[in-house]
Order: sequence, then structure tokens, then C-alpha cells
Amino acid sequence: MFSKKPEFELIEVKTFSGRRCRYYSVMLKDGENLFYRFLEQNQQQAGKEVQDLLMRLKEMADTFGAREDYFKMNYGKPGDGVCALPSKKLRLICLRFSTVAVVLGGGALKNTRAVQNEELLEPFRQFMLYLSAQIMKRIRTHEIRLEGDRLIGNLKFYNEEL
Amino acid sequence: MKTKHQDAESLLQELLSQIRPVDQYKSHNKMLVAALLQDILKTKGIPKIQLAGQLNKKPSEITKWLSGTHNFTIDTLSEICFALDIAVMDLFDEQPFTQNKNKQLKYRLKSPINAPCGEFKTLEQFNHSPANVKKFKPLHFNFNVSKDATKPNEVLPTKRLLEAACN
Repeated sequence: MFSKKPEFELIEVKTFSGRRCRYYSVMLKDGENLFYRFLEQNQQQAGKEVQDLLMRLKEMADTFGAREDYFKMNYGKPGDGVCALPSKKLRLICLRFSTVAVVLGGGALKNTRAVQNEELLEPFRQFMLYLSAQIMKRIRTHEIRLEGDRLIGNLKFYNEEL
Repeated sequence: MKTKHQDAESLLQELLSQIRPVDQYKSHNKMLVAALLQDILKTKGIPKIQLAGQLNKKPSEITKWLSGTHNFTIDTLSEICFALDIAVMDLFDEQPFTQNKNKQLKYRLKSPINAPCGEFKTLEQFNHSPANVKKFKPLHFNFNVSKDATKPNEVLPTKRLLEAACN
């Protein structure tokens, strides 16, 4: 899937997290953050959609939790939690743990019918599939656990630790 | 010197500050209706496909309603409420989300239209239940109040009222 294993860590997005749901973003080794890059890249082209996504993320965090129906679920394999938060044509690829924790990945505008055919969106989806598999592996070995709405444990995915 | 992460944080703060409170409120209400609709369907054990059949809609339309992005019209809300036998106000009830997390799923139908089929058997029971005494004004249907009646505010039966009107 990747020529080199991606190196990254999960960090909490404290600006957003609320009493119903906690958000995490993916920070790559070079300090680039997928979620923040998504905001930067799309705010010019799709400012309204970005704003709409932010409002909904805030509502989920404060009041409603990350309910399954708010997301488009068929973005990964069954049960892996990979999903997308849509706003018109814009998609933010996420990894959902019940209604209480969400990892925010990257995203892009989706112009084709199938996400697999979308050049800009597909790499983010593939990355989240990889991330989901890595987290599941660590959950099985008790390196990561979900305590309340918090992901506890080793959230650093660097090569020496993989 | 600011790091990439700090720059990004400040961008997020800036984007959040640009959101108008009224837009946030609109978003809140759309998600509220969707969440309550999800809960009601779950409580009543009605699958989405059944609701779609009842309303003569495609299942994908129900999915859109539940996504929290749909801007409902009064007509659509009325159709949904009629099919589910609930009041429109039940879809704007903030109470389940202001309570404790554990109590969130305890959904209680409390509007008068549902009273006879809920925990209250009659309108009187609904009005006088301890939970509702303070919250709501008692509901009475005094449609036919006659000015000429011997007692003030005497409620005339419809038949007598019609007879009086004919004379």
C-alpha cells in the first residue's frame, strides 16, 4: 500500500473536544497535520463546506456525540470504523470509535461517483485504513485502550516502534 | 518562532471565530431533529426502510434526513410525525441531551397528542402528573364557551350550541 511505512502520531484536538466526543488528529513526522492541512487546502475552494463541517464537529463534541448516522460509513472494510463526514462534495475522512472518540484525517472534494476513483481523496482513505489496522493491532496487544472518551496508551507510530 | 502546529491551531481558531452564532444554531437544530428522529425510530423499533415505505420515499432520503444536514420543511416534519404518531415538538426536545449521558437513551414521549398511548391514559392524568404540573399549563379544550350561558365560562355541548345558533 505504501512504499515506506508512514510515521506519525495521534494528538488531541483540544480546541474542539467536548463532553460528548473527543477528537484526535494525525501529525506526520515532519510536523504536518492532516486535519489542519485539510482546512488550509480547502478553505479557499470550499470555504462554506469547511465552515459547515467545523460547526457539525463542534455540535457533535458538545451535544450529540459522533453518531453513526452523521457519517458516511462505507469508506472502509466492515467494522474498521473508517468513515467520512460529508458536506456537499467535500469529504473529511475519519476513524470513529463508538460515539465518543474520532480521529480526524485528511480529505478533499469528491467529484467522481466512487471514492476509489478520486485521486485526491483515495490516499487519505488508504491512510486511514492503514491507521485503523495499526490501532486495532495495538488494541489487541493492550498498547492502546479506550477509557471513557480518551484513547490511552502509545499513540506514536514511528518505525522503530512498529 | 511559531511551529507548524501552532500556525495550524491559530488557523483553526480563526476559522471558528468566523462562524456566526446564528449559523451554529441552525446547525444545532438540524442535528437535533436528526438525533431525536434516530432515537424515536430506535425506541419504536422502526427500521429506516419501513419509514421510507410508509412515507412513500426512497430509503436514501431517510438516510439524508438522519445525517443532520437536511433542512426540513414543516410539511415533511408533519408527514414524519403523522407516520410515527408523535408531535412535531417531540423533534425539538433538547432534554435528552442536557441530561446525564446515562439517561440519554431514556426517551419519554411527553406531548399531549401521545399521552393516551404513553404512560398517561387520559389528558387529566397528563395535566396532573407531578412532572408536568409545573412545566405546562393545564390543557383544556374550551372551544364552545357561550356568552349567554347562565354560569360564566360554562362549556356548552356542541349539540346545544348548534341549536342555540339556529334559534
